[in-house]
Amino acid sequence: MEKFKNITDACVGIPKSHIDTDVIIPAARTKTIGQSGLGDGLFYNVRTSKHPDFLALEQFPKRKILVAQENFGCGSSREHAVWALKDWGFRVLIAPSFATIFYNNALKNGLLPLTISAELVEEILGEAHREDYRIEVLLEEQQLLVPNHSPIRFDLKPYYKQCLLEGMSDLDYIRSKMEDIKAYDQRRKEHLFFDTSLLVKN
Amino acid sequence: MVHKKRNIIDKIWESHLVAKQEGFPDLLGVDLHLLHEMTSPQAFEQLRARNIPFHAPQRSVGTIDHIVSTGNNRFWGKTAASKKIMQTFRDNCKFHGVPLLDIGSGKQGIVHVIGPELGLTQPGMTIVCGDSHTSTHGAVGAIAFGVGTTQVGHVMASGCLLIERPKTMKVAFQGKLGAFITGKDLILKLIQQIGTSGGTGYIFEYCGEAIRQLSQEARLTICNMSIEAGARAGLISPDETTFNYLKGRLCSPKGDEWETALRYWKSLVSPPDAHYDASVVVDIQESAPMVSWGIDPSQCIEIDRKIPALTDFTPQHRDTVQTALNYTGLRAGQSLQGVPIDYAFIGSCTNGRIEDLRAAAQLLQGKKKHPKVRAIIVPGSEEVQKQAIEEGLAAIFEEAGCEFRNPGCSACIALNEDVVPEGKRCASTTNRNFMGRQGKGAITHLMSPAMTAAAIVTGEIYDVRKL
Ligand code: SF4
Repeated sequence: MEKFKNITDACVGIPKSHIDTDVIIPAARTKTIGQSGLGDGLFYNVRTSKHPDFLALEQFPKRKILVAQENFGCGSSREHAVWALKDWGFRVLIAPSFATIFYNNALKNGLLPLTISAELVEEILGEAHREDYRIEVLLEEQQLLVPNHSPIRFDLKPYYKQCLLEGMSDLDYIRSKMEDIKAYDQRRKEHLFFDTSLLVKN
Repeated sequence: MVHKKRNIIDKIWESHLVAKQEGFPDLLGVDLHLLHEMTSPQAFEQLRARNIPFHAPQRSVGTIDHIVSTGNNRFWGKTAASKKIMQTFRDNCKFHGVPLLDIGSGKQGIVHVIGPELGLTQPGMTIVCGDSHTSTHGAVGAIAFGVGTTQVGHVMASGCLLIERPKTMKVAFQGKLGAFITGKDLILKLIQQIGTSGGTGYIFEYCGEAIRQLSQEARLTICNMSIEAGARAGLISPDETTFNYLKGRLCSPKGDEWETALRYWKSLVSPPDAHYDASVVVDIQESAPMVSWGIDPSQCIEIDRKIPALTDFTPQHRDTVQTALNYTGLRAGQSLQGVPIDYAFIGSCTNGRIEDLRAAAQLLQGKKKHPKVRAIIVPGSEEVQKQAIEEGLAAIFEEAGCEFRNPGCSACIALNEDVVPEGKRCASTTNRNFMGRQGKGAITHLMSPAMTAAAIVTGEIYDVRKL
């Protein structure tokens, strides 16, 4: 996973709540083996039908910050929704709330979801069309800089902060604990009472 | 500060901590990793791509269950796709030294049926599989849960899982078991009461006199559906019923080791005043056999009640309820008794064990299936199948006009040839009545094996207590 770098950018605003994973990427667009190329399927149905709430996507295809209303990412636990958002180019998501599984999937894939008040989201959505309305995300400081506001601190679990800063995946972290794992395996043996080799012998 | 007494979930979790760090998920050791053909190929691929060895093949076991045909001559797969998936799985197990319980070995079966059956699943263990119904194994007193394919890869690579610790919930069943009230009825009753997300973020411990009265196999049925209540896992503290069940099984400890194991297992049992983060009581004193009427397992009722009126639901829920009723072709306020069925399925990791087949056979003995019903009975494993033949159950089914097929997941997920046709109504012992689960447009009514047997005989949803 690549390291997360601080971002200053204008936003893509989608003034809608409860955007589910099927809207983010329709199931029919997920039938690929890999994770790249899924960006083409991002918001496919609403984007191609020119749904008025989703016009900003095509209008500002290079922006890295997506802003939407509450409960973003509800629906199925499919990781494809996150992969598609990343593949499109988004690095930060801002909403008053996220669906839990989606929130975790995002962090596991290096996409930073930020929860801020509904009033502030409303304000940002009102200005999002402006190229000069730029938001700054400072990961180390856990701060969000929004025009006309003092710095806003956002919450982030220390584990995920470290993953994003170092570009570390879950598996990288697990493998950094290999010594602990070996010691644990030895300790645990005393309480294991099954022998799978019997399965193939008999 | 009052000292909090640890429950069995706390004890197992804490004894499996490999690494713990403030603000980080726990790194939890996995004692047993069960693998099947459907959720493992991409995980094996991860190992290959990063050139990582399989960490603990001796603590892993594989079987083929989801996609397998239940017909004869099924070893090589009946379609090009199933053949490819099965062969890839065999190659992967062989390459990494994972014991494979293959078709025809006498030990093949649904992964959640064979674990307990072979004595692999034991109290105090952590068990993981790339399948949501892994919670089944909790019934012997283990923490067992399903994980996604990425995490299957993590377990392959390290024998560990990175996971946030869930909270604990005590689920107490109050009252005595009535006639024909089975594990299936208790768990459906719980899900009806707390909903499909009532357990989100929790591991359940099931308690109460009714649980103690239940056989080990009935307890497996209860834990199996923990996931349908949204819980991460569900378990039951082991007792004499559990120990008697495990004694003498192929992989169970023997001799002195059995005594050592027993002492350890008993030390894990929750004390009566153990602390939990939450608790719920389910009153089963007046309960009747349960049947589902909708498209999620919480949409179910006692057979002697009626589907609730739309006004009984909160306004936000009425749309969902109406969608469910439109799909199942039923009306609010209607009774389920007498609704004609086209199909019946007895099997799956919920109710595909020998006791389930015995319960059904007892009711079908000397009777014929209703002529309009196609009844499919699929044992959960080759061992269950063998026993059913030896005990004469298979003969009873066949004389009644039912099909007794080879073991696998079968019509529970309809990935093989056992598919319920569009618009057909099926009485089913499975765990999910989602739209299209048993086939596109198929309608599923979840119920116990006894209730399914009653439906087979009468051709309709029928109160087995009146048979
Ligand atoms: S029987 Fe059904 S629920 Fe159980 S493992 Fe197979 S497909 Fe899943």
